[in-house]
Amino acid sequence: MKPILSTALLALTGALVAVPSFAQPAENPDACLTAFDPAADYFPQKADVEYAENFTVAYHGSYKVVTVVEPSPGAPSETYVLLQCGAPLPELPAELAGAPVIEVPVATIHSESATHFPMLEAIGMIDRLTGVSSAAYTTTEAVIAGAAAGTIIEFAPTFTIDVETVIDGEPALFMTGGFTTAEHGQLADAGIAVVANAEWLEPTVLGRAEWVKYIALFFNQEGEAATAFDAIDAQYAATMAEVASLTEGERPLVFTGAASEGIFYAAGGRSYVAEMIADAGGRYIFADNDDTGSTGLTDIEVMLDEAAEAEVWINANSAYRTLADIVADDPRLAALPAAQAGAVWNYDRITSPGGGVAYFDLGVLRPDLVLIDLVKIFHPEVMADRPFTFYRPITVE
Amino acid sequence: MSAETTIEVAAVAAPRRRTLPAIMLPALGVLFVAVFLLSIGRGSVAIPVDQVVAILLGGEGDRASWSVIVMDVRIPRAITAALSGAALGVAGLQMQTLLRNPLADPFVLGISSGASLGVAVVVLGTGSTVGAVFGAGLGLTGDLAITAAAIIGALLVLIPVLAISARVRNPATVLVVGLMLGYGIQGFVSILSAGTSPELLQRWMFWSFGSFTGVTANKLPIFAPLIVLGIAVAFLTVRQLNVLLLSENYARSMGLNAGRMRIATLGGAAVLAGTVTAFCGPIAFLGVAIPHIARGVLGTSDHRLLVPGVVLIGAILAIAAQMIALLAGDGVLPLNAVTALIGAPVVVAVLLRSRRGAFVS
Repeated sequence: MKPILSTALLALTGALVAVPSFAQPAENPDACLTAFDPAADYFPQKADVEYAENFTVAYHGSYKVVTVVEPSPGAPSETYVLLQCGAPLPELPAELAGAPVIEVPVATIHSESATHFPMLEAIGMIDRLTGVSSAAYTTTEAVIAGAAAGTIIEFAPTFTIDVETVIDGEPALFMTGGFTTAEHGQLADAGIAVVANAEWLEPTVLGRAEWVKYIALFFNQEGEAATAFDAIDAQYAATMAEVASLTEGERPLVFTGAASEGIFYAAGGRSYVAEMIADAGGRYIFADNDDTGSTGLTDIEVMLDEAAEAEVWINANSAYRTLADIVADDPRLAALPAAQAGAVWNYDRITSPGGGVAYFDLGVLRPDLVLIDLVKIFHPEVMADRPFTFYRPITVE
Repeated sequence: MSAETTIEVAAVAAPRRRTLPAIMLPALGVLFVAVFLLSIGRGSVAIPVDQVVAILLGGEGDRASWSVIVMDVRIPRAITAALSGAALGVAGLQMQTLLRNPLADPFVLGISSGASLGVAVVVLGTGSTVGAVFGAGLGLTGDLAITAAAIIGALLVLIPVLAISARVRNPATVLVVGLMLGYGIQGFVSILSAGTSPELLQRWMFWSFGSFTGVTANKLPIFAPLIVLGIAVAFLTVRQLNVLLLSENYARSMGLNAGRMRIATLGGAAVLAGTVTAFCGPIAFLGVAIPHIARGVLGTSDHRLLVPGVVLIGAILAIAAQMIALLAGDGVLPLNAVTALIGAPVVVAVLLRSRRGAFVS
């Protein structure tokens, strides 16, 4: 007993003595440094990216080099230097000479996309959010409440960024929604750190969800992000395993979307929607298609032909509440067997007063919950005890 | 009175090629039937011809979906395209004659934009309370409301354009004024669309692409009678249109009540342009192109021949445009892109060739 106690005391004393100059803390700093040690690794918690392909991060003691491969469709890659606040500007290699240097952790953030809000919540940083493009289309309660109270400003309620409002809001970081606009250049010229977030260009759902780790880089919250993502990843895998052994004949044929004016875009065969249908034990009518996003503009004939034998119709149209609604919209769609059977599901179980749909924001972070919904739709007997999160069926009268 | 008028017009119009329309009109009729049948036989899903024939004769296709495609997609689409093309051609002809402007048509002069605004007010303006509106949510009454709003919107542009054209004789000036009115109205439409939900915005975008496929069999009972009514006005006023073509002073000296004539023609054009826009979206340039093609094919400016010619050529061109739009592999081109590619060259040709009043002869 005694030797153990003295060893512990010794260790404790040693640790206390060591703190001022040589500490290797277990967590990334949550504030600026007061003293700087050039030899220290200030980021012991490092992002380990497994699925996401559209961003990379490299750690260098007091700074991280973050690259977004495709910041918006077709755009050249962008690289940012995330420097620990309080550390001196390091000597950067020539290729990083033009890269913006952003001090982390950032105190405040403006965000263009509602998909970021659940991720900020997951890493405990939602209170750092001080500006959003619009609070109408989010289902994140904290953001709706913040906008109502005036603690979160809305800088693009009609889709165009009000540059002056953002500059006045003085965010430490402005995160895009994955599209490039002229206003981003104006903000950068005004000295605001503009960084891209193009999670929507990830081809896989887990890749998209993993962008929680990207957001966390700017807050030194790599540890929180890893914990959150590992749980999502594990639950996704466990849900997939529930239906993995089903035979081809046990997997229902599924189609998505709805034609408007007789034309429509279908989810591509390589899209995340197609991926999730397969993972949930379904067969997608356009599984052979090679598009990663949506197909080109498609004629209703194609849908009527391909969906003629489909048993389930998902992501139809939020206006569809009953079969009569589908008849009123387009009787040709209402005549499809899936509609006649009432097997029509929309992802708008959770909506906000402004018209936001949780599937589009929370659903990006939580593909595991989306997958559970889809499994329950395709195979009602599996996971019957789990509640639906995003999907609701039409009511059959 | 009318007999003298006819002689005058014939003298002005086409003294040398009097026999041409007698050949061309039946030929256009045959061509229309051929194109109509072709558009039912071909689509984005390959269905064997014998299957199509069997389905048309009341049988069942090898696949259940093929019957739905032929009966519920292709036939309503072909009828809608034929009626829309005829309607836009007639509206274009009426406006070209009424305004004495070779470049007049519902789209170019902003009348389609006016109709779009009417649709936008109903669809996007009420969207926040009703939910999604196109069809679902409003149903039949929604179709009627949208159509009425589109016709009113069309009139809201047509009346000032007509008033301006009475003061300004230069066709190009009237054209520019119409374009500006159209742009101004598009501004209001943009404001309405900026505040709407993404889902509604996508439906709005599909509508603005232009499409003959959205008019289902249950919508034809509203769509078809309105178009037939509008075209009937043109058929019943062919003689008066001929007189108007010469000059308004001449028309008055012939005892024509030009004011009443203008109102009837104006109303007819607004119903045609408004109805087509409400159901099929703003279809570009067909209205201006069809009357010129008809004059060229028939070699006359006599409205007794031009109106049926415009109806047939309009129907043929619209069906052809729809078929071209479906040729893009598995996909479909926006209909407006195809009609613009057909119509825009005609506008350019008319501009390059036109001397003042040249389109009359």
